Amino acid sequence: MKTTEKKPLTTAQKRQKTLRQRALLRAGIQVAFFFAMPGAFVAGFNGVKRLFLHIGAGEILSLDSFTLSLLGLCGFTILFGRFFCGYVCAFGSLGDFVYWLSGLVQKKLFHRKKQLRLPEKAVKCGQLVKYLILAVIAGLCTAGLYGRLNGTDPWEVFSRLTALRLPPEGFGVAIVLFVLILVGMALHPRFFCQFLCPMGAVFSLLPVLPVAQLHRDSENCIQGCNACANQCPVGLKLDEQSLRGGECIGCEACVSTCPCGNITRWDQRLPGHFWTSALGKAVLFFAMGVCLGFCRFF
Amino acid sequence: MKYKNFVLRTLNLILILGVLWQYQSVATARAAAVDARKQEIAEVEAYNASVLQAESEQEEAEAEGGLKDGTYEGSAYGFGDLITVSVTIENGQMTGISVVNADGEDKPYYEQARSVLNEMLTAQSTEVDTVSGATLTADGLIGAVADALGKAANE
Repeated sequence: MKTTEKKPLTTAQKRQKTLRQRALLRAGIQVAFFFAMPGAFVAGFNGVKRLFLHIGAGEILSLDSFTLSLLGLCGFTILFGRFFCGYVCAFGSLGDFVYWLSGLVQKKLFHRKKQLRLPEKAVKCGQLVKYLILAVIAGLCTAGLYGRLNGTDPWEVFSRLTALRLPPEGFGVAIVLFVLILVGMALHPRFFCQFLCPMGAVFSLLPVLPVAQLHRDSENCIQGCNACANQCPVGLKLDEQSLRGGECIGCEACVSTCPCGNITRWDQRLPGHFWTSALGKAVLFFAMGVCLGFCRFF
Repeated sequence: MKYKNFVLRTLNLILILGVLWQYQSVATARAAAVDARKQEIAEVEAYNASVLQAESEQEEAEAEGGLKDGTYEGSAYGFGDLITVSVTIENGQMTGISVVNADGEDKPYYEQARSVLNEMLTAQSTEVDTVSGATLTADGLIGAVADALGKAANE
């Protein structure tokens, strides 16, 4: 007589299962957006550049498509947190993919158990570099010198590649920078996003509505547990008081990692598990992206 | 305070938006001023061009020789009927205007309107102001002189 009844899963196994499901769901959304809207982040940042170019030239600010893209991305981020960074942005997805690939290589070829990461102190300092980059680009745009940076933008190389074309002539510097960024992406999760991305600098300064942020019930935490911070790509230990709170890209890796289920947000408790929350936001963003013209297909 | 971070960031965003708003209003005012100035310049240039054109036309007319000496009669409708005047030209200048026939005009109006004759002689032109209160008669006199001058120019 066959007994097909499975053993009930232990709590740890259940956690492992949701962790895998979440990762798969997120990867699925990222792949979909990677092919549908690979240019959204460039359009948003063009809005920033346009703003400073206008100011530099003393012109009236106009609501052109780039400015609307910027407003759309910033508005979405204020309402729902940095869902765009965690689930939509093609460059962020590239970073996640490269880091995952690098982990696979380290595991299979070098039999490392723990994947390489940069030391915590370097991460904290590095996260400030993106503000400098944003300031430099804004300054150059205002001074009318931005044209001199022509051929140094690694995003341009990436855009060409996503359009299945080779980067244009004279983009040697940009290609070198792009390769360096790829190397960095292999060394640390979300290397570009947290250290270099000027758009990330804008997002991390935005006031995300408290209801859209993840909250950690620190009183119920296990003493000395650091599971969420270890899992976090941007090295956060959630805390409302921390100024680094803006770094959270809303990837929700911490939510299912926490052994006590201490990290929550209202939409995590919606019926239908975590699917409702992530898919709902993905659909909302997709609708907005189609309106703003991000989508390659429509 | 629990939401200190959020409040700080909100204030920061409001500050940035406020600066942008201020910039926008200054830029809009400046652009409006620049537009107004451009329009003014265009109007002045158009006026200058029209004055220059009128001057050159006048010069051309004078170069054609202007009026020929002699006495010419011209007529135009006044208040009641045709007014006929006779204009004397000497050395290309109007030297005398006499009214040949203004029977159709009412006397008081006619007396008032006669002042345009001297004005026309002084100005050596029919481009003089009409007499208010006796407009039709005065216009008739002006028209009659213009008719006579036309003949003088065409001879």
